[in-house]
Amino acid sequence: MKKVFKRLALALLALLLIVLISVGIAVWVVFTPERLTPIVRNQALKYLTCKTDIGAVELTFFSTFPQFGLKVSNLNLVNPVTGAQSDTLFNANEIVGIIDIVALYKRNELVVNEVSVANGSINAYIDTLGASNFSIAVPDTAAVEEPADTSGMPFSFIDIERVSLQDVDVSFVDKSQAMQAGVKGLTTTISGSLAADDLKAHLKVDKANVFFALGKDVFAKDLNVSMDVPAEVNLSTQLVKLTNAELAANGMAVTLSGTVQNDTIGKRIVTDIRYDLANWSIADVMALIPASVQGYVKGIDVTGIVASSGTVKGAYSQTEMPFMDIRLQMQDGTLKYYEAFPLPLSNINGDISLSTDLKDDAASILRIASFSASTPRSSFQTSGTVNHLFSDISIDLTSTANVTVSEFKSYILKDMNVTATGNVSGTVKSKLTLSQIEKMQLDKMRLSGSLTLNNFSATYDSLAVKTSQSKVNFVLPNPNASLKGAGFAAVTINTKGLEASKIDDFTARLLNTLVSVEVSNVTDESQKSGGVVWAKLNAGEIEATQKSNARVFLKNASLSLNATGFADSTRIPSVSCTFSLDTLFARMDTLDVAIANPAGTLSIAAQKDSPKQPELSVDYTSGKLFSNIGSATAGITRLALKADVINDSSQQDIFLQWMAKGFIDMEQGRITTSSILYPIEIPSIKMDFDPENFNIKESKLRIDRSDFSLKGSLNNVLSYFRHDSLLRGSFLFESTKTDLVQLMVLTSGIGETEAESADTVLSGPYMVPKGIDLLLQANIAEATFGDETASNIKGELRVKDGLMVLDGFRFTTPAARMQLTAMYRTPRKNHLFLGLNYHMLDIEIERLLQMIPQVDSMMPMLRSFKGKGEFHIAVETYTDSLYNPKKSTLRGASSIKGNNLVLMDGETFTEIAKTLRFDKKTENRVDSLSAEFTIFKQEIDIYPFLIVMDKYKAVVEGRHNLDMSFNYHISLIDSPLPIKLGVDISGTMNNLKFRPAKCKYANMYRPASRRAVESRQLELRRIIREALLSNIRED
Amino acid sequence: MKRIIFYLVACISIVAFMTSCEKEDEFDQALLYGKWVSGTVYYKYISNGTGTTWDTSEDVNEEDGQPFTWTLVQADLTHIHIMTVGGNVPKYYKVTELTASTLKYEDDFGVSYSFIKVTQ
Repeated sequence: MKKVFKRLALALLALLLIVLISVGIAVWVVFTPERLTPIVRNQALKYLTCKTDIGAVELTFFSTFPQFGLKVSNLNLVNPVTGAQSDTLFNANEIVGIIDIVALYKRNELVVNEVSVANGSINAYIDTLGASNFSIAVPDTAAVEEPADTSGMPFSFIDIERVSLQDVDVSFVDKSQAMQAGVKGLTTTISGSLAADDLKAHLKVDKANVFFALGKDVFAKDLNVSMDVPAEVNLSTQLVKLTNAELAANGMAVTLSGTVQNDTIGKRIVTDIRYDLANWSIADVMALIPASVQGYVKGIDVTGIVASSGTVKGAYSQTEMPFMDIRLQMQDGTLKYYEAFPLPLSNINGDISLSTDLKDDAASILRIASFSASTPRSSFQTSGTVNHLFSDISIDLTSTANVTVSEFKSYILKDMNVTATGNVSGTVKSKLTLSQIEKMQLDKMRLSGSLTLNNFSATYDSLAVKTSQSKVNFVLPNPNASLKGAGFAAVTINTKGLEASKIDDFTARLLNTLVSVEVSNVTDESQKSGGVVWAKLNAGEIEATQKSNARVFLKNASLSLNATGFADSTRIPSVSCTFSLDTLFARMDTLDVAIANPAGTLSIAAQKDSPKQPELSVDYTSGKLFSNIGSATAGITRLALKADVINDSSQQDIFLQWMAKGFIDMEQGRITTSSILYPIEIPSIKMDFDPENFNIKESKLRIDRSDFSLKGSLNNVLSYFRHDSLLRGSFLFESTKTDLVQLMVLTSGIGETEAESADTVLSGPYMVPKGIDLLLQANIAEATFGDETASNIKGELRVKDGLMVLDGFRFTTPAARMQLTAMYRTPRKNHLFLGLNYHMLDIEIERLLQMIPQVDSMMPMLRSFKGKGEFHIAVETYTDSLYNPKKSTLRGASSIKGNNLVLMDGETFTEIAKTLRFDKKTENRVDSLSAEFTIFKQEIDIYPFLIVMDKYKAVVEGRHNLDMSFNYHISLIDSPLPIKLGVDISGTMNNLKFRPAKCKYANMYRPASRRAVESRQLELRRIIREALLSNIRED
Repeated sequence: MKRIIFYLVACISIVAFMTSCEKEDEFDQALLYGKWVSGTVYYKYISNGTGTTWDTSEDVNEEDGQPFTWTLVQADLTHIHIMTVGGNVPKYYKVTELTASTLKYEDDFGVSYSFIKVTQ
């Protein structure tokens, strides 16, 4: 077996040797360059018109093994043309061609196994007239005579396995088009085959340095191009198919796959191309930009790495554009373009896709998977989509930024006087269109985001705002509206510290505060709600100051607000506010207010029948309250207030403008003021009220030693202010102790006109309120009026239309049981009426004179008596504004009655006793005394009255004037003497004159012999006494 | 002597008799109706027996006048001043002259008053 193989191997070796020897003979002996070169030169002269230099032509085998090749050395085509860049049209150091002779000869197939050109150059030139230097072929006149077959190829099959150029310089100048193009060192390989209409080709450019210019515009210079382009072409359909074709310029490669077809029927180019490029340096790309268009990118300094991939599908014609789906990625980019953006950008990274046919607006979309960039101190990034690129651009972006505000101060107009510093970071989602921005159609935009402000401050003119840290969340529209209609927008501000101020005016500070606001679209007039606002505030501390005059401080404040219809100009908006605080402190000028735990609700709404008139509702409670105005202070332990208030702005009177219904519940109030000597303590006030009625369920007041309790109701309040009715009231006034002077001070001046209003201090006359009818039932255990004290006071105080009446007041003083009816009327400030109807029972006459010293002036002889009696007096007068009596108006009537009185010894008594010859041992006892006297102007008339003493009976009468002059008469009607004597006493207290006189009333107490004068006097006494006693009320 | 005493007693009796039977003056009260003034003091008598009085020297005007009732019986003029707080102040005067323009009276203490009529 081995022998067989051995013999076969030897046979093949021998055969190979024979072939090689034959080839060697053919190459080196038969077809030598000396024989072939002339043949080729002759043939060149036949077909070329230009000068042709051919160095040598030789047959190759071993260098082109296993094919025979034809090698031409030093080929040079010279065609001098004026203006051409070179006389040499073509030259090459070496040209090798390998053609399958057998296929060409036997099957009419052009099989080019290899054509290679090495180290050559091509200089093509077209002059301005269109004449070229490469029109060197001898015209083929025979071809004209033969019918041309233009429908088919001259070969049944063409296969170009390899055409290569090695270091070939190509230059093309077309002066008719002002174009220059050149390739240096072109090293390329072309292969392909053509069968029927199908062309398969493979172009590979390993090296090419490209230059291209049109006119003076250089579009490519030193452009190192490489290619690896496999392609399939169907000539009949003009379809080109690329598979992973690679093109590169200056190292920037792009890979193409797909088809391109020239649709001659549709007159369009149909593409289905995919491309990929990676790691392109933007600086390199920028360098490729022709100098002619460098102006467009002047000032732009951009770097970075970009990559892109995409497809181009569809037809291109005058009416069509292929659909492009392009993805662009960028890494580590930088940009300096100060004309458009004042800051350098760095760390630019992006992944952006564009899908468009440049025509179909609906199908065109820009997708930003991510895009981020940084300035020296800021950064931002965004992602999302941009639609409708060719009409109303629509964006749907999510953007995040971390901005150092001061970096962007150049964006602020200098004349706006705005400054800003600090940091703003956060994310904003936006979905809106360009037209919405231009038209500010906020209701159609979709915006949301969260921004955090750190150490941020901004000023605008005199306004300033700063925050240590605040977070602002917003959404537009608001998907989770807390109040129906408030779906337009929502904003939440959460701040650790925020301060807003106006220079030399106010400052407001918020600490640890959360503010949420939701609103409706106030610009949308079609909304039935007419504007809705919902707001909620939770603040750790709020402080607002205005210069040094006013300050408000709130601690742990919570507030919620609902408002609807505020944009409706046809009606009052509906507003509801609920609030609660731990502490509220306010100061304005000399007014300080501090409130603990104030809480409540406040609502405002339009009235049903009057949409432009507000209706208010207040429900308020608070703990301790303290306030002071200067030296005046007010304090409350607890306060509850609930009120419904209806406003009627058409009314003139402030009370009629604001009609309230509700209640007040207050405890432990205390008021001090310099105008009132003692603090006013208010243990409790509970009161219901409505526009017509005030119902005081409980009210207690304490002033110094006085304490008051008032219950009752005040009615016709509204009617009173409308001047339809008297203000009526009925109250029960109880007190364990009352200082009447203090009470008068407190109520002075109510109801007076402004010109007549009294001060809080009773500096002028006390003016009784007008237009009111108040009844005060008093039950006072003890009352003082100046130095006088009374107890068990029961009676009624009525104040009615300028008249104040103490009606039937019964009380007890240390001196007597008393009943007092007093009247005080103030028709005019200088014409004041004062009247008393005073009944004192079981009173010591001595005490009576102490209590009412004026009685001593009226009836001076009383000071001579000692003992108990009863005293009735009615006296009235008008006074001027200083309470000086107008004597012409003085009226009075009095009745006094006593038994077992003791006549005090004294000079007067001694003189009388001496004149009447009293027994010196007689006790000065008066068995009975009953007298009446009247006061009229300055005259005090003592009507004749009987005194029984010792063995005497005497009748005394007379006149006593307020100027302290006397004119008395004493008739001694019974005595041991046989005659009736009389004595006249006249003069003054310092100069009394006693004269014996006729006994004027000898028969006064003898009815049978009484004279008319005596009867008349008794009748007048009866009239006086009965009129007085008729006023006494039984307990 | 007895005759002398008799004539003396008779004379005294006649004088006494004549004195006690002195006829008082009688005045027409219709003349009293109207407004009378004495200095700054005014009295206004109304036919129904009421009246008012005021003194303008103390800023008291007619509308501020204080009420009284009055009677005129022969020469006895009685004013009963009515007090607002209850109670009456009677004043008695003896009229000495009453004409259409003049009114004069005096009280028990010899104080005289003279008025002239201002209006009817």
